[in-house]
Amino acid sequence: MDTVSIFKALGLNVTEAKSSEYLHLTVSPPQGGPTLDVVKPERDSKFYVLGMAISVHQFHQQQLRSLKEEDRRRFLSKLRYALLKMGVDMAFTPPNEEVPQVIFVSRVVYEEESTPNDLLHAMYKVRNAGTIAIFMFADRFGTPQLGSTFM
Amino acid sequence: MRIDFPMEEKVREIFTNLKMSVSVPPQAREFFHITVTPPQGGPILDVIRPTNQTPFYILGMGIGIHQYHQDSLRRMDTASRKEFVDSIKYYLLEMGVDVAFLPPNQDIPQLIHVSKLVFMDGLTPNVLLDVYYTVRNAGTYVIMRFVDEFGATLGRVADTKYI
Repeated sequence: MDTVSIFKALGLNVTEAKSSEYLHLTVSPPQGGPTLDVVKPERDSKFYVLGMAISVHQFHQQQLRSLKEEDRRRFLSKLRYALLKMGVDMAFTPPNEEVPQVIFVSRVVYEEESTPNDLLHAMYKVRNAGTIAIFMFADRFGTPQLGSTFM
Repeated sequence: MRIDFPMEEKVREIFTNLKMSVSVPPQAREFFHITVTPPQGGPILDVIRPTNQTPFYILGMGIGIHQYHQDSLRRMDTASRKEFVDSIKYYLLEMGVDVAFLPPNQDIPQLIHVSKLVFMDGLTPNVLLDVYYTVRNAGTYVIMRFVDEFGATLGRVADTKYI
């Protein structure tokens, strides 16, 4: 099975994103929910990157900023430890700032000898890591009012 | 050091294809021993097959605890120190790795080693990658815990223990 048909078989919407990479798909559940990016950087890349970008809601950024420095650090550390345990790559942007605007979690899948389950395994890791990040913000600071939310 | 064996060549190639830098440590005496680092720098992992009879690879990461962090641990009271060190141990166990605090049975570790084995039989690139993620993240966790607790060591001493 090729990558696109694996995601389609799972009932997910797959669309091709315009980008400079060789292949860039966005994959999302039809009823809405977390969107995954699937990227093959170059034609001869031997791997895919499955990633999820979580934009931290303005409201949550404000809440974080209003915390005492120690509490803020503790919250962000807890989040980082949780993501490490999920076995994903993570990047907070801007880096080394106290209040992240975007949290990116990802996982690499090696194409050669890969099975649909390898892809599924990576998908679960990334999606659940991203969901943990979203939940940790929502549980700590409450859900922001409707409008622009986590992408 | 022989690397002209198909499986070893494959392992090396997998990491190279992931754009990581792969090198052979000069002091290595095992049958197969490479170190793997992300291109932009970062955690160094060892991939070792001790002898040509060993049916598995060991992926490991040794985190030398910076002198400044050892001193900070020493300054803690016994109960807090134990709690801090134990919490790292438990979390590493949950992450599914082998853990060694060295020297053993000491309050203050000088080296924390995390590793995981993977059998060669049926080894696919993604299985190897899965083990890589597990070990790298476990090692990264150790480094972050120390930095979060005691602050970064950068610039404190001209000595980079965490590489």
